[in-house]
Amino acid sequence: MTTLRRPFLVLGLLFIGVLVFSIFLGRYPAPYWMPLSTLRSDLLAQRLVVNLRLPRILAACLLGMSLAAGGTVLQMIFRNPLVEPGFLGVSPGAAFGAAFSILFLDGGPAVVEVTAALFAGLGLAGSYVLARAIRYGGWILRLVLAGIIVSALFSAGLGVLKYMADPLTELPEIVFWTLGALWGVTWADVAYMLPLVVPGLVVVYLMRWRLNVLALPEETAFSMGTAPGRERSLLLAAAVAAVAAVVSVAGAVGWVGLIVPHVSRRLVGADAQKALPASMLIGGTFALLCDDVARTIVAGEVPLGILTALFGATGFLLLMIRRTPQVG
Amino acid sequence: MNTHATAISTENLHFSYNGPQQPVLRGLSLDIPAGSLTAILGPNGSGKTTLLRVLLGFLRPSAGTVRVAGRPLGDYTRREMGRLMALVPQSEPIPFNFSALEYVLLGRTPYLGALESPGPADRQVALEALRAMGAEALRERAVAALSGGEQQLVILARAMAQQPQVLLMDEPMAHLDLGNQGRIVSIMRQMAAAGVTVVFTTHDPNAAAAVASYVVMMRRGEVLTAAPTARAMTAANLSETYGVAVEVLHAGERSLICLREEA
Repeated sequence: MTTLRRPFLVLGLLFIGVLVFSIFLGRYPAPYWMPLSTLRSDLLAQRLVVNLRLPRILAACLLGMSLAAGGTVLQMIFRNPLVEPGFLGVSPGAAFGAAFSILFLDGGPAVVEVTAALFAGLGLAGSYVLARAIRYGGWILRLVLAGIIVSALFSAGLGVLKYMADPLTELPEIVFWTLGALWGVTWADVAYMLPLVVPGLVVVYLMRWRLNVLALPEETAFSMGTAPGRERSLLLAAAVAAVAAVVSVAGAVGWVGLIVPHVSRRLVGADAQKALPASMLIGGTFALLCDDVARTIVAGEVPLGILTALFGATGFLLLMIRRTPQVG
Repeated sequence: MNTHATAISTENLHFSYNGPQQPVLRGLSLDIPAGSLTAILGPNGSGKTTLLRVLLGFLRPSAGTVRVAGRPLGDYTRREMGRLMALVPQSEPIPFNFSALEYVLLGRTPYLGALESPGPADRQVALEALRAMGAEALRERAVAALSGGEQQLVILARAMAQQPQVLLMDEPMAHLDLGNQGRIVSIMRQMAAAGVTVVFTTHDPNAAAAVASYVVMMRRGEVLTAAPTARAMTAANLSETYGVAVEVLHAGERSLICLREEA
């Protein structure tokens, strides 16, 4: 099933390579590249790397890993390869929260983040409560339906807020946020993400083989001595907590969580024992590369979500039209 | 091995999906002998699959008890139950692109903690299960790309990797051609001979007559007859079960069940 020999060596080296490469990439002192000699001698360059580039690079890694891991978990648990981690009301909730904060709470980026995270949690909780109330279909179908309903409500709310926003000042900020960006990420932002991202990813990583069993039909998973409801809820909560944390800082960055799990399964096979860590490595690398382009290519800042969509969709297309005997 | 004469016994089981107005199981009591190859026979909608799910513990009866190997189901932990009973459902849609060996390895779940993954010993058990099904050659193939018959073998191997004392099978031969039916039947016999209690549902009296050593006939959520095959498969019992006139033709040791022709 494996199409790549020694996939983890290749993916690991690639990830570390991109990580190191990203440190030297930027627009100081000149566009695109900072020579090692500058980093040794220039005090400003050192400060810039430590205070701006490093937290941003770390944030990009966490973002990519959380979205990719979240995507793998949700696709497997919902047994649906078209699900992405913003599902279940998380991303639309966060976007609504951010817009709400931009419009009504004058508090700067930190307040936007906290409000976004609160509403992401609210979106998830809303989906959960709604799923319990729906009297139709099995638990998975009810969660999917509830997620769609909650997402639609938040999207409608976001539309209203956009309509009300000042088109010169507030609207661009909302649009920029919904496209996603890691612009101006500080160590404080990273520290704020870690308490949710680290436990979330650790739980998902440790339970990665179990994820295979939980991807089976409910009664089969049950017959194999698992408690599917409880174990799936735990994995979902862990994955979504990590995603909510990164999304509240970076905005609604799309496509990573949808595409990276597919790429990973193509490379290492469906077994989550391998597919999940591969997914995290690919997600981290991909988000880093996209963010490198976002902050380097022009003097301003290209919204990250545009690049992940552009490169993600292109890469996905190439992957899908390649002749391989595999499915899914 | 099992020291109890009955592998599974139920007492006065009641179950309904949509409230007590539409009962599916109505005071159902039965005993399944240990080591038997038991057919649960009945017309469509008689509650066979529901009964299987209640025996598995997946559905909780509104009244009554299920005992497996002498102990009530509620006394077992989830992991113990996974080692005790395995299930081959009527359809098991296989998500994603698992290889046959990866898929069979999932059967080792009840022997692993929630954070563990299978080791070399588990791999050995999985390979042996595939070999016992005569499906070792499929080990690296994608399960989703296999034929229906091959998939059924892999799913059976997955259940056998659980090393269960009781194997529950829901309509195991319903979608298979004659050759694959024969293959599954001989595997079911092997398992029963090895001491596993095999319980399977079927709506086909001929399948029950050909395979089972013990037959439970069901109609509308109740047991009509439960007896060794030769004693159970009478025209009178079958006619009552299916609500149509049935006759049993004998050809040497074997019998053939068909509808009685109106003259």
